[in-house]
Amino acid sequence: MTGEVSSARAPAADVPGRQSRLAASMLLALAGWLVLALLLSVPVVYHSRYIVYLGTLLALQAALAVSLNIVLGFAGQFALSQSAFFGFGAYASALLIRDLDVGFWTSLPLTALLTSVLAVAVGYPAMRFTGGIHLALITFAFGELLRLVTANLHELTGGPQGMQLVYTPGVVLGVDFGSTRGLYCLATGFLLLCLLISILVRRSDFGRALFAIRDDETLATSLGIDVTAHKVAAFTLASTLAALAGAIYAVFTSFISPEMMNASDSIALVGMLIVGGLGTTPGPILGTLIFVGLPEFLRVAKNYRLVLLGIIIVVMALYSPKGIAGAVNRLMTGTRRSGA
Amino acid sequence: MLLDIIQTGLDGVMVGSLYAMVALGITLVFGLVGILNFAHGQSVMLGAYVCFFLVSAGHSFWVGAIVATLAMGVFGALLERAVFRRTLGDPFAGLAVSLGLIMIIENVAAAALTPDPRFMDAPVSGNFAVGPLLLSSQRSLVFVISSALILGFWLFLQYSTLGKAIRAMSQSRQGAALVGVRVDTVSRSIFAVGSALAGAAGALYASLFAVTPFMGAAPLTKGFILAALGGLGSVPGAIAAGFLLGLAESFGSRYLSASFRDGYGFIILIFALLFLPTGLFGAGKARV
Amino acid sequence: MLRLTNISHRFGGLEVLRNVEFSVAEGELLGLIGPNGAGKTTLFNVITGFVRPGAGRIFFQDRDVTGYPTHRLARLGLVRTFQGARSFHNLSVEDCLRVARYRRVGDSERDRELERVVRLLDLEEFATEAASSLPAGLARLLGIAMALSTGARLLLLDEPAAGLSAGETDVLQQSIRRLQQAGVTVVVVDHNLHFLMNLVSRAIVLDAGRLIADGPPATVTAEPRVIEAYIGGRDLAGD
Repeated sequence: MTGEVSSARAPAADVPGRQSRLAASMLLALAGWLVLALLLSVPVVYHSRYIVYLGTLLALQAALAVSLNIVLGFAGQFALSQSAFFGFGAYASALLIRDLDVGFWTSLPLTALLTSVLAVAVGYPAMRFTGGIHLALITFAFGELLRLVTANLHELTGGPQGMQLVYTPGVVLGVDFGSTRGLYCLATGFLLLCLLISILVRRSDFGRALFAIRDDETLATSLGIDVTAHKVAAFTLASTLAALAGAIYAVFTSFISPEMMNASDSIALVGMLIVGGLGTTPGPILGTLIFVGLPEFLRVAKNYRLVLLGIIIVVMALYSPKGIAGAVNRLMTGTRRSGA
Repeated sequence: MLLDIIQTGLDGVMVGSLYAMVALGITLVFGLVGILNFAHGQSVMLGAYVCFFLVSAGHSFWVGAIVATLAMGVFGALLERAVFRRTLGDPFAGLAVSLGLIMIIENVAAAALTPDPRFMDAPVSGNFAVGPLLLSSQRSLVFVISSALILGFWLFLQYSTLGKAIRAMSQSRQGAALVGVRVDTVSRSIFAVGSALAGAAGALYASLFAVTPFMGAAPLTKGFILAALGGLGSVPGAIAAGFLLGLAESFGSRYLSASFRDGYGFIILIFALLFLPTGLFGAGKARV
Repeated sequence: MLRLTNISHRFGGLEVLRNVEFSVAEGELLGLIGPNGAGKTTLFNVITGFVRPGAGRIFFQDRDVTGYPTHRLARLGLVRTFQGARSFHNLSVEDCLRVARYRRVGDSERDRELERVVRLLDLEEFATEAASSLPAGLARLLGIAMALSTGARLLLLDEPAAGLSAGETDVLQQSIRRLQQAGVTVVVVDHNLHFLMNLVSRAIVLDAGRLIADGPPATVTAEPRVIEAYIGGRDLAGD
């Protein structure tokens, strides 16, 4: 198809540009998968419990970022409730297990179901009547409200002091998912699932419609796309995956508290996506590694790590609006800031 | 019973005036420049520290408050110049930048000033009685100062040249530019004025609550609620919403549940956004 | 195909549409003209569900569709384009067209004919380019191609020829004629009366929210009321 571009009407972007762009995106994809492979091989190479613990934490954090990317990066909807749903999932699963006596594995689909009902109930009115910055505020408010309600339902949730959990996933197919490594496998497996879903969505008609909505809602509506329904679907998917990450986090740390729902964590997730590259597949993982991984490895005082991170974010936002993924892309193709 | 209601109402109004001051800066910056400045709370925090250190060094509260206000005005102008000017028209970049700024400012402050809470002596103390009502002297003073500043700000918008330029720009950026308003100067002034108000609020916060590097989060959250509740960009909306939130918190914690104090604002906000998506004063774009 | 009865609409105190009534027959190619501010764009917005009319009803294929949301109308086959070059900036040309096909209902012979018209617009060689990198004329054609790809039965074109080169205008005219042969009903708004009058078989004229003329292009442009409406606003030659 690219062979016979008639020179008379060829637009600015030429064929070599396209090829290097292709090379760049392949390199990016390769880098992303390498990082992932590194993450996966952690417990094989290292026997330190700390490293495995950190790997599990990173995997769950990356799963949150990957799923948020579906609603924020793909559909361009400013949802600030990701950590609220993360906490909701943890509590939902823990309470189902404690009070209704279901097993850990059974609690997962039930948690997903409850979360999707809640997400639709919040998302539909919010996305039908508002958008943009108002959606950010309403999801922010919902998240804080959920946190305060959780902290105030003392009998059910143990209040601000949180809950100690006593269950484990147990042994399935010969793998002890209660062990440190088993939990690591569970977390990375879940991250892979989130990535797979994200890639499938991106390649589907549904995903293209989300990108279309991000670019121009009015035009998308005029082409027969039910914009509200698509936004709500993306929001529900992202929220449900966040809740499942929360349920796994709960069994991983054996302790949950309303602080899991802190809005600043949701905001930090947005930062991770922006730094990594909003709407790109490797972006959320790169962002997570920088935000959560780098500070752990940089052995400097916590305050200065965060200062450094803050500087990175400001510089990235000012000079590379498309994140690291975008920056690599640009370096490879030599296109200017406005070109990409 | 009636006394109790009046007393609760007065408490609410006093806190509300402080909330409104913080919200003014947020709503102005958003309405005119289109940036939701998450780093606005840092101006409150830094203002509180400036006031605290001056008072600790033996100066009066008034000197501390005035210097805090001016210093934060300069700080706001510098931030606009160095950072926010480059993110105009890109809400994602503006958001990311302000998130980064929060992390930088908070943690530099925590490292330099230690995270320990500090307490400052209020300029006045004790209570005074108005008929059967018992009022805290310091809270009354806070109410008087913040109301005066809000009123002063409103007069500034109505009558000063810069205020008129701000109002012109809130109507139409292009139109304002056409009639000779220096749009970039006005943008910087808005950041400066908003940040100065936050600095003044910080000084007042310091006279009531503990000063810590992380104290900016609460006023910021409330400021967002108010700016949205009042209709983003609407100055009268932000002021009205400030008092409404103060009252809701005051009555809610007195008669419903005190530990849920911070939740009432969110409930009001959610209902308001669902049923009045453009806020109490129906904005969407700036209205001053 | 499309029938409007007594459509009125006001923005604040301003009456932008006043008792507008007309119908479009299946397969017709209708021009809608009028000076700036006559209410043409509002009328398009009303027909396509972006604006709910203050009064009056809209029938599409004998179904009362007043108040239907835009996306539902589009799925019934009532589709519009926008002024200017509007596309999804971050998608490739190919993906823009895929998005447009996404909610298409059924896949009839007519749809295949539409695909042929889309191919006529000559976008294929740019399939993998970013939509935002297209030059203005092509971007405009892409907008039309997207509208067609939804499987439109009635297509409303809002100033399709504005800013096109002579060559592109020719392609556009041919494509619109082909559309008509494919059984698509078309309503065109344009300032370029020359372009429009060579194309349509019937024109209606809107002025200050009222329908002031309806008939073959030559008759309509000769009517004193139409000439009067244009004088002081714009001259008849358009842009």
